[in-house]
Amino acid sequence: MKKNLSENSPVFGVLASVMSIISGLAVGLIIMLIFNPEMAFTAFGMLLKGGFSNGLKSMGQVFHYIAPYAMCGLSVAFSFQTGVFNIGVAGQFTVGGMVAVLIGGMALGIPDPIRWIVAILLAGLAGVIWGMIPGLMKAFLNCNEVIACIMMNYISIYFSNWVIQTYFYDPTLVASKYVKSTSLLPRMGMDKLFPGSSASSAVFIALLFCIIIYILLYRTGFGYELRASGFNKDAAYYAGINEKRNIILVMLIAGFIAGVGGGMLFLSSQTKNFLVSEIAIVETSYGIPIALLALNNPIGVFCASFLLAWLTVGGTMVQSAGFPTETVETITAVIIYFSAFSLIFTQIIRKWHFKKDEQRKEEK
Amino acid sequence: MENIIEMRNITKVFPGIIANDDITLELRKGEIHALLGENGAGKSTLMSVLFGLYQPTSGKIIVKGKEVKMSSPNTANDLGIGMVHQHFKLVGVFSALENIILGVETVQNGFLKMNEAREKIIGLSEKYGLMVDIDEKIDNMTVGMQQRVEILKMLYRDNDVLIFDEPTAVLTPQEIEELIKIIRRLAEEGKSILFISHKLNEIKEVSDRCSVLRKGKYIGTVDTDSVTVEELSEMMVGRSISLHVEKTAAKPKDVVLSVKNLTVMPQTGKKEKVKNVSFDVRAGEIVCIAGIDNNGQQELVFALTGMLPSKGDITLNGEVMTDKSIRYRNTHGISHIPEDRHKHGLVLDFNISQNMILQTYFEKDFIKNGFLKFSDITKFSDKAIEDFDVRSAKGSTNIVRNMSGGNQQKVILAREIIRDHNLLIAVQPTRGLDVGAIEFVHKQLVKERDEGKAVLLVSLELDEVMEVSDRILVMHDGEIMANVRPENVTVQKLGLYMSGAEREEAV
Amino acid sequence: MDMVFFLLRHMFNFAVPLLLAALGCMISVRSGVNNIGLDGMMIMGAFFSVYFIKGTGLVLSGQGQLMIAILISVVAGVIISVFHAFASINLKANQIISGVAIANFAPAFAVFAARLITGESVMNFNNTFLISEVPVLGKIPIIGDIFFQKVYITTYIAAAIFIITTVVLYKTRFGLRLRSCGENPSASASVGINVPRMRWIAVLLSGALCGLAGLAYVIPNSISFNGTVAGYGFLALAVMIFGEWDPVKILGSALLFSVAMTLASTYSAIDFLNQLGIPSNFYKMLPYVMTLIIIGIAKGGAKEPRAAGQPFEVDAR
Repeated sequence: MKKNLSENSPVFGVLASVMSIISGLAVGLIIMLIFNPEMAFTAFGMLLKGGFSNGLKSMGQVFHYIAPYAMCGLSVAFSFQTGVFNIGVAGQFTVGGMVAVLIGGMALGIPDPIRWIVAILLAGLAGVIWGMIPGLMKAFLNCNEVIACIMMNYISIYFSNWVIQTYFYDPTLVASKYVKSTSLLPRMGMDKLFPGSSASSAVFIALLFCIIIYILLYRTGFGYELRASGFNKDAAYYAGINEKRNIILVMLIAGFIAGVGGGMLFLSSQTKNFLVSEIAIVETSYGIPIALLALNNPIGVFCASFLLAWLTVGGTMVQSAGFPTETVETITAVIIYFSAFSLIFTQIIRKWHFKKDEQRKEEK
Repeated sequence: MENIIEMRNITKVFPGIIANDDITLELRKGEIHALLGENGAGKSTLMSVLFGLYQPTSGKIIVKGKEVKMSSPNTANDLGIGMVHQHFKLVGVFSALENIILGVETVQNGFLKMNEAREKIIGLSEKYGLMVDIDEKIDNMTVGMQQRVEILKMLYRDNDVLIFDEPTAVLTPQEIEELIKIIRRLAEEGKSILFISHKLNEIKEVSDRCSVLRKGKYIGTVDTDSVTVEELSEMMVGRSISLHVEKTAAKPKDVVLSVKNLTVMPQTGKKEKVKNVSFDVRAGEIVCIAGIDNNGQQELVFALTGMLPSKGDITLNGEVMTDKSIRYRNTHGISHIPEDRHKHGLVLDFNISQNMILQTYFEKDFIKNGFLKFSDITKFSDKAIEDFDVRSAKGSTNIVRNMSGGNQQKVILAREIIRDHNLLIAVQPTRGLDVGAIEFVHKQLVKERDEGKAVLLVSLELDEVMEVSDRILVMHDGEIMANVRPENVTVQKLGLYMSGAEREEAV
Repeated sequence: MDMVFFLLRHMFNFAVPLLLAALGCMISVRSGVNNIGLDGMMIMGAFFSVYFIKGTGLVLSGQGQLMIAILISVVAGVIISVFHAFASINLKANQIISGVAIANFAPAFAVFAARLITGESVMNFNNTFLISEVPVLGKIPIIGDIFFQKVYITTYIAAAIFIITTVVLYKTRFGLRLRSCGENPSASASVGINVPRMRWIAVLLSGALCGLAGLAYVIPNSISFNGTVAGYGFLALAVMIFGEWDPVKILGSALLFSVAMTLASTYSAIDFLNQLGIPSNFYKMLPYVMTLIIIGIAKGGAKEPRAAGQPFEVDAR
């Protein structure tokens, strides 16, 4: 016998997310079938195989990807829960990455043992600055933060390109030079556990962030305040909660998370350099879907990141079946679309559950 | 006389509740028929069935002798049935003319042709005495004028069955008289009128017959002339109710709230909403702000509670509050039961206990080193639930969204009354509640007063104003028109103050 | 003088896609549906029409080919907007999320599909669409130089669409009903207007205009398409807000924005700017910085349709 679920049980939400993912994958498969019916199933299988596809290295890559994904997702989820839509993760992440590359690559007189810490903190600070601008604009000028954030994203690309091209550029690579090996994040045994992968302590730092944000949101008075604003900002205003201050603080924290995420990505392996390009860093596009699939729960963010990291690793394999790596991005966008329906999915599942419940009662 | 509409044995079941249980309603041609029932008695559901917004679970609808299936509001419109909704269905940025023709526009090659419509509307407004400036935007009109636009909308569509849903809720006594005249005139011209209300006196005055609903059930139909107001009220509520609020004479003490030359600007717009207002509220008295909706009451309350900036002096217990934050005022003696409980009063997705600490979560009873003390919060909330008889399936952990309006209001009431305060501001605290809940709220207000709190009540219901208050301030267009005691004033007189037609000398 | 003409013509080329997309978005918002997926709709329109131009490059060319391409871009825009309409109108889903999904999907899909079809992420095509001079009109002094020389036909189509949109919105039954749906849909429904249908039409129209805007972005700017319209969809959103949801003001706002774009893309051809020695990245940033400043100072909130972004529920009262 299944346990009776209450109206607001989180189980419904989780099931709704699962439905979003399955729907996204199904549509992805259909798109793949349209373009290449012969190889579609093979490639789709590779995609699902993800972390199992190439031994421990693939598994290590999954852990490698979790970190940037979780940081992006957490930044979005945290802001979402408090009623602000931080769609500027991409920009905050980018400037964070750019700063980390500079600190990690140039001498600057920083002693090596603490170099990665300085780099990551300054990356976070860069994210804070990038997040504060839309935050201040929303708080004091009542601007739409979505548009402000998107503009900040574009500005971040050109600004970072300029900094990299001016101070730390390798024209033959059309990218930054490589960072020093002494600047990389501690591996904490992940390189031994998953040889050949880029896995590092970043995944643990990301997990730590998720846990801290979870506690902040659900256990503290500050979190109570933020969630009250997120659910009903008029009631929060009525209750004397300082909305302006909170918007700024939220964007500050969200920017810090994203900036640290960007910093960690570029300090996770020595083969990662900062590309001078006019397109956003691809990892950042997973922030929104992860937050949505996680229903904005920080712990959920970590789980959803695992899932998308899994698909990403699978996605690098599909090239051998003739599909581009953009396959995963396409599928993720479809998942975002379906997660817009999560409320409807939740209602359907709930209705279905209680209908069965009633039938059972009648049978008795 | 022939029936123009018959709703026979209508039952409408929603998951969990029976909103309409075997209801029969007959509207005769040319009569004024009242539909009486409390909030939540099933009147709205019945009308939604008539307009095809809901399909009845069982029962049938007969219009002009023919059984019809109401599939959408259009079916009702086509059959000549029109309705003035309680919340007007008007587009604020459109002119009256545009609102009236919307949906039945005359066009030439797809382009709007307004002239014929204009002439027809002017003709109609002259015929029925419904003068309106048809080129004025709805946003710039008074509520009474907006209601006329709604009536013209029905007449323009040649409707012969006109339904009025709580039409007097927003009007002054004089406007009500005016409306009743218009309704009589419409009936004389052969229109059939269904008048939905829970106000007994009006029903007695205007209607020929009256059908009563209670808790979704049909109680009966009577000739209005043959029953007394008391009999009607007993039909409506199921027991004899005392419309009278039990209270002793007030013994006002020290001034708690003193307002001097207060001026408030609205959130959007440039016109002052409160103009140079001064008054006092003392401990141990209930002062009521009466007036038509949107005459500055909301802005006044927002200014007092810090939700809008203001010019002038607000003094609470001798301390100037004018530039203090909302939180400062909350923690220095002001409790506030807001007008809109869903917008301001509650976080619907929080549970009861979380809502109970909305303004106090940071106090040392509930927090330690920044972390919430959940067990203490629950204990506090459990006690409040018991003291105020808040009913819900799961007590403190019940999500507020899943509760009835009356119980939601009790959560706010409990929170605001338990909170340390000496001024309670209650804005329309009984709106949308049934008689039992209304009585409960009124008792609590009187109890507050008797315990020596100052109570400032904002109400649109003149009955409530007359019954509950010890002193009445009448507001019109941002000014206080009168400062009177209920025993020294009539409802008619209040109406004149409310509409700005008269002003008390002393003020 | 030639420099002025050159800059003005450039301005128009930038203003056209902004104007089209902003008008499309305005139609949708005035019916009550927010549309933040403009960028994605533009990309889809651009992708399919450029694919057509590339594919038929050996057989077709010139204005005939362009007209068919325009048709294709419109159809592509409409098809992708179906998803937004279904999500926001029928399922009453979060419109921002649905829009973001479309804005994310299109660039990924465009590159994904381009790789599968052509083997690389960039699609090059043969651009044969410039009208060097319109007969007769091109000879008029000054006006001819500005409006009738070295133009693309999309400019005239945009001008026509602008006029039609303005007239339809304010002078016709359709326009009146559309506006009522964005202001107070329950009032519209109470007088028998089918609100979901009006909103469907509006969202599909916005898709059509955005699809066309996507093509209009690509044609004058380049001979290749790499799956991006450089955030023009989002800029168009700002153009609409700055234009207070009114077509005439949107036109003005689009022209204003296009000044920044023109500077960003032509600074190297202007000696004065070139000598200042400002790095190119800063010119490229300019449109976005300007947008940021403009939304900071614009106070458009009061004119926003009141029901924008709110799903329509058949209510009982």
